[in-house]
Amino acid sequence: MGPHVVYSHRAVGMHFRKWHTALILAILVGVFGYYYFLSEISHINPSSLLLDVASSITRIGIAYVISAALGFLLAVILFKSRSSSFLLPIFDVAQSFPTFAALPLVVMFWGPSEFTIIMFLVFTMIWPIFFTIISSLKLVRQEWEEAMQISGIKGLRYIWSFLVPVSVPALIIGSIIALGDAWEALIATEIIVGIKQGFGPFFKMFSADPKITTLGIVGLLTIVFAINKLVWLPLLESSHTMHEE
Amino acid sequence: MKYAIELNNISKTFIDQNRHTFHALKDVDLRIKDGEFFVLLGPSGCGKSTLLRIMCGLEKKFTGTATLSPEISPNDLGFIFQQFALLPWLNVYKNVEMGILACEPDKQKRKTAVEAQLIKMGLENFAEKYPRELSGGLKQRVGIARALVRNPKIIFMDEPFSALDSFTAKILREEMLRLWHEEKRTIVMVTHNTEESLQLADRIAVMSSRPGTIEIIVENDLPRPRQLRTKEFFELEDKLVSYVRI
Repeated sequence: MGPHVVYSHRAVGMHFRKWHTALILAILVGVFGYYYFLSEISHINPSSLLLDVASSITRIGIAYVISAALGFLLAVILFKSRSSSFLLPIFDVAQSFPTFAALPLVVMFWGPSEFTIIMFLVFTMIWPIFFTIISSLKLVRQEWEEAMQISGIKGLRYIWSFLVPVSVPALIIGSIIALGDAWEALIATEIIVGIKQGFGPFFKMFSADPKITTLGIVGLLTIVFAINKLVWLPLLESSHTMHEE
Repeated sequence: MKYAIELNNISKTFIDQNRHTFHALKDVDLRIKDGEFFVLLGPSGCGKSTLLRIMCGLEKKFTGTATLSPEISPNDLGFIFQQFALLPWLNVYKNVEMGILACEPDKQKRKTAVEAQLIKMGLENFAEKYPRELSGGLKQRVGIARALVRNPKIIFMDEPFSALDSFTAKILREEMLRLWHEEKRTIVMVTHNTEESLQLADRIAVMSSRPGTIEIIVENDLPRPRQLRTKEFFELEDKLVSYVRI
């Protein structure tokens, strides 16, 4: 029998050590425990408080998916286009636009709805994602680009097998920045729009109680910390490893 | 005589930041024969890589005409890069498969072709390794396998051994020669190494810079396999060096 290709059938995915699993459990238990404590202190039904948290996270989640998809598409369309030289300065102005100033107008047009909040979050999140991705695409190694060109890979396959993986580290960094902006925008928007469930209504309800407000802010930060620790940081680390040559 | 590539009156200019026009190539005429090992030799900046890129279609902004033989389509071209150009998020198998992905829709046929190439290049135990886990020599083997997997009629090589240590480069040069002898594909290689060009080439185009032109095309009649320490080899090397204008 001649030589043959050896496959080790390595398991794909993350290999958790025991302390990783313990840390994840500790973070999750800590977050839930904290919210139970907060519900006791603020005399809010725990399920109602969890519904507030879930509503806000869902809004941010939906807005993030839309922003990431649109930001990526826009970057892919523009990174080689000649029109980027005049569109990028326009987008730069757009990202600096004081969106809160326009919020009452937006509410007037779209009404005090989930849609308004999500669209407002999309306007907040799309720019950091778009700018980090387009800058990474403009800096792609010329040899990689030429290797793809020689291979004749085009269209959707080119996007899926080249542009998407090339953009992943930038997408993750852009997402971390975007979500940082989004949490702030979310609470303000929820309060201004006057929606019934979410962090915004919670903070509005307890605006006269500094103790609960402080505990609420800490609660919000525990969620941001947990998402960063459990999702974004591992993704950032693995994306850097995947791009090591 | 059957030509794989014909270049007529090729010129290429760049405009630098101070708006000065710089002639990377000027009025280059060249015919590369089917099945020959052709080398473009010259100092840095003489336009040899630009000329190679024009031949394989990577560089599209130039004047003059670059024509491939009618039997050769863009799918029949392979390219081996100086810095390997492996995609770091793909393992060895996937990197090699990338070379054939667009021209072979059948997954099973792709697998057969990729595996055959991995074995040919001695990579059968590295299929699931990532580029970061490989030495320079192994990375270039992957680069060569990716170029060969599509069964190209012409292989373009842009200083393929210059990023490697001298021992690995020697081994890979010998393997490239063996592959060329077995399959008699047309090879066009860029190098600034006179010894390498004499060891490998049938013909050597010596290029000079400002503007990039071909000074002379030298026929290399040294018998194969070539002995690198003979009087004839050194005489031809001296002759080549004398043509190089920096």
